[in-house]
Amino acid sequence: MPELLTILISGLLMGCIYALLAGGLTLIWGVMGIVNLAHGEALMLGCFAALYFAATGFVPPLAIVVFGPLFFLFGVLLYVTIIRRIVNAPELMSLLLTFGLSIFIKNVAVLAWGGELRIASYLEGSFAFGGIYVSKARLVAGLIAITISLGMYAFLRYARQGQAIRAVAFNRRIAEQCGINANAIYMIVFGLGTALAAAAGILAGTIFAFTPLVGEQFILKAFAITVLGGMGNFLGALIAALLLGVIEQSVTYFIDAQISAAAAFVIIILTLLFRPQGILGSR
Amino acid sequence: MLEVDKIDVSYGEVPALRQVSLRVEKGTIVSIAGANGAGKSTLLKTIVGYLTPRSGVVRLNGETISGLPAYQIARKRIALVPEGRGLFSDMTVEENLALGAYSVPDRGVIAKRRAWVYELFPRLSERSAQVSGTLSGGEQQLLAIGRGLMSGPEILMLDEPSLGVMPSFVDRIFEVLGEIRKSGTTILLVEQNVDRSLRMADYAYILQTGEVVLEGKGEALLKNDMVRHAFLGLA
Repeated sequence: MPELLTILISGLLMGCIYALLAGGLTLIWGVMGIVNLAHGEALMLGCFAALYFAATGFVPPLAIVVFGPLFFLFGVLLYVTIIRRIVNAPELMSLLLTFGLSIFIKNVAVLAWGGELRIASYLEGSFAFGGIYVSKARLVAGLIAITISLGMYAFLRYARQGQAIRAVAFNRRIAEQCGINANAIYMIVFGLGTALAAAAGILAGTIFAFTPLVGEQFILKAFAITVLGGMGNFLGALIAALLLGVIEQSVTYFIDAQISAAAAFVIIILTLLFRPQGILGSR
Repeated sequence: MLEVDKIDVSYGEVPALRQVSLRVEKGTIVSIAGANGAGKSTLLKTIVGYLTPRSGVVRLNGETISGLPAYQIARKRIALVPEGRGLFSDMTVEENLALGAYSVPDRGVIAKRRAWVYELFPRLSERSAQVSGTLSGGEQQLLAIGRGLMSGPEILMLDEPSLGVMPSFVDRIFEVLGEIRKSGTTILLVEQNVDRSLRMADYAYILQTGEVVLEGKGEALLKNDMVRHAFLGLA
């Protein structure tokens, strides 16, 4: 029993980090209709931001406070310079452009920082109570991640700007008729999505070793989560992310860690076969 | 107040409006009638900025607005209640109304307007927390009108408000238009229900294949032979 709870808690905490990453991806898809293949690279840059923070002697998760706004601005800059051109363009255009962007960013990162494994670890050990073990670093990362995700959800649900974002996602034209500047909303959404991915990276970088290619593994998981949660559905992504975290952790424990990476693929296939609209999607 | 001056609009190479001019004076109801494909919706879309005229201009209170982005035109207090209602159907009644007032900075003003809209449409107030896509067709139309009113428009434009609405609700909608006009809001009405819309209008224009073929006081047009023939099915 304590083993099962350990797996469950550990999986949920990991799921919280996935939720942060996938929330950004699904937000950008839902509002802008863009499949952002460079989303994993924002996470990777977040990992290095955590590393930089650790190297300068700060607690790495705090990098979110400093780098969060910077990554938001980075996303805005990307939008204004290039992403803007592919909003409302055929999907192939957005795939090609963001794929190119992804290759570009990770190769620049390899050139700049090299390809060896690193980790921004700062907190060792686990909490133990009644036979349940929870890694301290993972607990901190998971709790910060879920706080940000829930905050984001509340923002989309209740804030005026959040309502405007949902309005543009639903129908750009009608939103504009209400006086909402859709282009400004797109810019904000791309900035937010990028910042969410980077925040996920900052937290993930404190738990896992990474290289400049770390985005590749994570984006696959983010896609699986987006499909499972319903494309463009933020709350769906949150729930799906927690599920994936627990599933991966269980597979690792009961079968093999090597196979746990396949969990995401199995989820994509099963969802597309049996519930293509995702758990919270409609149609 | 609103002035459309000799506009030409086309979809690609296909002309949709030719040299169309019309004037809407403050505080009046102006009606646009015409068969399907005559260019009525194109005209409204041009006024709100979805389409840009090839030549000619649209002016609001003397200021040229054609060529501005749609959201800026909306902020000049021109509200469109689109054909098919165009609600944010996955959001609640309350959220739809809030979005209608998106460009209004003052919360007090928004609250006052919401109270007014709920007074006009008590049904909406009963259903304020309901997701708008689950309302009946007539209720959705009332909500679309209510959302249009939330911006405090100088001019409210309605595209086929009685389309797809139960007959008993159509009466209510025309009644409401009368009340809205009494509040000082100017109305530009595109309606398939030509008889009723001309009866209500101070002034009306008849569009045919992209051109204004007839204009005049609403009551006068009702007596016009061509109108009686083409739209009212009278000999």
